[in-house]
Amino acid sequence: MSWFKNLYASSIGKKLVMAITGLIIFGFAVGHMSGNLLIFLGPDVFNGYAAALQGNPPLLWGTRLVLLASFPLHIFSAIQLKRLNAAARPSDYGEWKPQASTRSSRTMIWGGMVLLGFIVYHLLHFTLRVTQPGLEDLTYNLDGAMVHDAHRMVLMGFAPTAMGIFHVVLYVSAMVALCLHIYHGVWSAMQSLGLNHPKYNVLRKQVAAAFAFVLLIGFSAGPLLTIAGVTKAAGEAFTKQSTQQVDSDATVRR
Amino acid sequence: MILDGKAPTGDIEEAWDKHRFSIKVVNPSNKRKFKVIVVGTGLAGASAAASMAEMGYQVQTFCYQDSPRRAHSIAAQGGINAAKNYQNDGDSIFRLFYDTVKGGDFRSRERNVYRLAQVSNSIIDQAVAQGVPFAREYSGLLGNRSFGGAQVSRTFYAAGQTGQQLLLGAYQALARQIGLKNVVHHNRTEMQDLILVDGQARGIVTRNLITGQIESHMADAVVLATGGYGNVYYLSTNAMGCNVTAGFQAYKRGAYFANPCYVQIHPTCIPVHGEFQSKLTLMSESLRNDGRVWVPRNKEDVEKPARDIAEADRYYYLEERYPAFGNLVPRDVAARNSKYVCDEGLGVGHKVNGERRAVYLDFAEAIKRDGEDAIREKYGNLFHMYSKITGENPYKVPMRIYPAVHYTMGGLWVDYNLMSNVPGLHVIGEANFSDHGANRLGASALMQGLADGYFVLPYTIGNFLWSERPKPLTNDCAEAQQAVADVKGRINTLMDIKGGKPVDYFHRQLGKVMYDKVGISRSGAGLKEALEQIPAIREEFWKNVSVPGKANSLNPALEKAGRVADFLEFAEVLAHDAHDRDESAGGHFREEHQTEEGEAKRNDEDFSYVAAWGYQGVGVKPELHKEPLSFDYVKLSQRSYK
Amino acid sequence: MNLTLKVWRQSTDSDGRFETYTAENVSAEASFLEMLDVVNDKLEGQGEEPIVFDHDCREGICGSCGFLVDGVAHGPETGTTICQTHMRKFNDGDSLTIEPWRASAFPVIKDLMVDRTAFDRIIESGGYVSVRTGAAPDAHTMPVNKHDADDAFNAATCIGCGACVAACPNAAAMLFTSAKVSHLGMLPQGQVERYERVSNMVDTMEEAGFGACSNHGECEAVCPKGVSLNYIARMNRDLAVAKLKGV
Repeated sequence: MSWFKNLYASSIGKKLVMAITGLIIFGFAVGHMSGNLLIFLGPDVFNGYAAALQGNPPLLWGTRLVLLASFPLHIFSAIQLKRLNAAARPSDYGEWKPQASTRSSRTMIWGGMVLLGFIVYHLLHFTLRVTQPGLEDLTYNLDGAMVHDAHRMVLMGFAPTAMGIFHVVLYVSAMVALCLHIYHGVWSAMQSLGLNHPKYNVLRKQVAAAFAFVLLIGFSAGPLLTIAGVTKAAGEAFTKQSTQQVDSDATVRR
Repeated sequence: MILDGKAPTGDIEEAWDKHRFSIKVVNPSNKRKFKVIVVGTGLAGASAAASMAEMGYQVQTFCYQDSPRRAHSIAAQGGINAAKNYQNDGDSIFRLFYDTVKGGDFRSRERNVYRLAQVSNSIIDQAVAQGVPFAREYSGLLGNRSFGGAQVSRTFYAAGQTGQQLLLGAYQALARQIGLKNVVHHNRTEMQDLILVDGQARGIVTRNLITGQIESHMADAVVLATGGYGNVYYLSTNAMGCNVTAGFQAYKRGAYFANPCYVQIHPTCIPVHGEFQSKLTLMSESLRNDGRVWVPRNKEDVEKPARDIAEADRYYYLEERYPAFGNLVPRDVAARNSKYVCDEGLGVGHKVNGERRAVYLDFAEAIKRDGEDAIREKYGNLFHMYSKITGENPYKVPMRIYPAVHYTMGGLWVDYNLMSNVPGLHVIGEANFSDHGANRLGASALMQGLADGYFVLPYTIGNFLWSERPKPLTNDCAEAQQAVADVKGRINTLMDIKGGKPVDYFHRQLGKVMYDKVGISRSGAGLKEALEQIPAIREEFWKNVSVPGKANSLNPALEKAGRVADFLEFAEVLAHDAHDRDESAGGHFREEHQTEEGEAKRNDEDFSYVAAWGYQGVGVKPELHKEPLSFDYVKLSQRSYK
Repeated sequence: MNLTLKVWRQSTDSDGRFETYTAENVSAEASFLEMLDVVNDKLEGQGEEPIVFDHDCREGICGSCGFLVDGVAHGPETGTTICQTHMRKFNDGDSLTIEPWRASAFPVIKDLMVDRTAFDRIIESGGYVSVRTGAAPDAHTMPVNKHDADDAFNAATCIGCGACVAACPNAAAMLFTSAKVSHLGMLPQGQVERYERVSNMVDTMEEAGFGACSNHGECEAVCPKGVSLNYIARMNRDLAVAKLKGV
């Protein structure tokens, strides 16, 4: 492991760790977002998906362990780099005009802190379910098996109540922060990992922007459409349609 | 006194090899016992210091800049010559030698030039091995271009930044030796005096430009690689800090100053825009390959926009006067003719001090012929630079150019071993009187600086060291203490004047006299006037210069004052040399001596010698020592560009 | 034109502060440094100490000059050193703030002059090909692909002015270091020492107290030679390989 120590001793090594852990978390976020979108397919699908995850401990705990390792490394290296950078520029300019950096790049550390706070709240809210009364014991009958009613939990979390509005504002704002963080983070990770090729370099920022935008839309869709009542309606419509489908299948079989 | 250059005799092709065999060699274990001081870390200084340190000598280097990478060699644009014959166009060592001697108008030492041509190829090999990114062809092999009117393509280049790339190569070699602790380098440290012990150059006095501390440094030999003296003209293409102090103080300690009147005036520079101009910027002379030089035929047209002047009213003076070479006449011819047309009142551009001193360099025809893209491909960076400086678009309006002082062929006199007449004092690069004779060919300065530094001095310095084996000295020996006291005295005198005029005021005055009377075109009468005006400026300087700040801290005004004080004395030596050389040769044009075609007319009978001047006191005409020149391999001939 | 200048004045052992000066009757044709010359000439004539700034070639190649003008390293003109920025870029009556590079690795010496020897130390630790004088083979024994040669040249055009460090919010020297690492690392001549070079140069860079790269791209934007950020990615890759190899 001396190679890792040597590599990590340099700021480039720390950036490399940030990039790799960042990409892991980013990958998780993409998966998480894709799963979230299943909510529009109704409680059967969504709760089935949630139950499948819960019912697969190696996947669930594997992911959790990787994330549990990635987050501290990501945060720890960020703090170390921040301190290094502050020491390198001890006094500020009387006047400084950015020429190329973006709001996204300049707010990485602050955006990161906001996201950290949000993630803590989010875990308390939907994973440990301790912040909102009524989410504790929701169950759902999925083809006879009693499973956690994640679908209903989301509907309640983003219900058109004072608390629901608060949650929508909180979640969507956090996703804006995530979008900014991802926009610079993904492009920055490509730099840190040395992923560059003269032919494709022009694409790097576009790719990062596309990912950031997709995540923003994908994640915000849940809260926004839920509070607007669309999730419930879509779920019912889909359930009805699939029930009819099942019925017609049954008819044929019969 | 007749000087002996100690060039080896015999067959010129074997002379350098035989010489290297005949001079003393220091064995490896003894090399580390010798200390060498190198002042100046441009191409010549950095390459010499790195090479000597690699050989085992203890080297100390000094430069006034904050890093060796900033030496003004970095600004050379065009390229570096070598006799590789990679283009298969019949080039050879002999041809490069021949062209250089002829280009120098037969005022250089033949055997030195031959050696220069011989080692030119090793320079390219060395630079490439260091990673200097020369231009390459699609084959992956090195590209060459024809430069400065040469009939073969022997110039290696790295876009318009060849000097930068070669300097960085030498700097990196030096940095490696500094990192290995074989070289101790001193930044922001300027040489103020030379220390002689028993008649030998054994050390220098320096001023630390940050703390103002005056120190002595002793060694077994001293190498000056301190560049040229073009800033004696105030406005030149030299960097602001370039100065003659190191060489001039050595001269005052007994070294001879050779051929100071050989100054190269580059024809294609961006003209002066105003009184407060601080320096001039060179535009590569490759521009004359496609640009046509002209001025209005009638004085009434000089204020008109160039595009409003009818073709018939344009005076393409180079094409008319020199039909064979046209716009590609040599640098000195082009420069002189620009001056003449401006003297006639045909100059264009803004008035500066009541005169218009610029001519057009017009690309309209080339753009029409080849298209704007083709011109952009060839000269894009130069056009960009021009438009940045002038705010004009040279694709639409003609460039304005005027000659400016660029390179100085003169310098401290050295023998074949690059040692001056003061034992132990070696001089390399532009600082010596060098191999360029009376005029330097394009792309030869980089070649000479690196030849001296990489491939000549590191061998020849051993001859002095091993034959003399100088005794060790301490930094506080009596001679060093005396020299330090002298320097401190000089600085205190400057600080105590407390006059009312800034240093630049005097420098500008000096520059004006030098350009007018000792510049592109000189006459006996004008030089006489200069010899009266220069001492007058000097006298006023010592009465009325203002040097604010403190002597013992960072003080740019004091730095400038010291340099200008030396220029004010040196200018007189230059003017004396120009006056004494009653012939025209290369960059030295005496109006009394021209052919019917207006060409420089040499007088080989009386002036085929190197004029090496010995110091006799401030304001006293220096003593002339002659080194006769003989030409056994290149037949003396008169240039003609008709 | 007439201008008001807010200039940072600082001597070696003091904290420094902004002082206000006026530049009068400045020609639009003058360069920025010539404008400062005019101010300094006046100060010197009055027996006051001139504003100190580094400068030498004044044609944009030596890399000596550089300070911030109105919050931008080398001033408002892109791809240009401050010595090559001309006053026509400004307007009569403008008020300009002039500040030195700020980085703990570049201590201020006086006024606008800073100590950039940390750059030299980085080069000394590996920014070269170890070839002794006279040890080189013929230049044509090793052809170099034109694309690589051109790319290496573009990296090698760095003038070492320090604007990249000055503009970087982290005062990082990544662009400078990566330009040299890439220049030599892209050429066949530089392969033998490729990984030792990057490892040693990065170590020296960090010991000197420069910050880390946050990929803001400020360095590239102010670089008077347009040295590309891609060289930093290249250096990151080379460093990772070097450390994996245990170099």
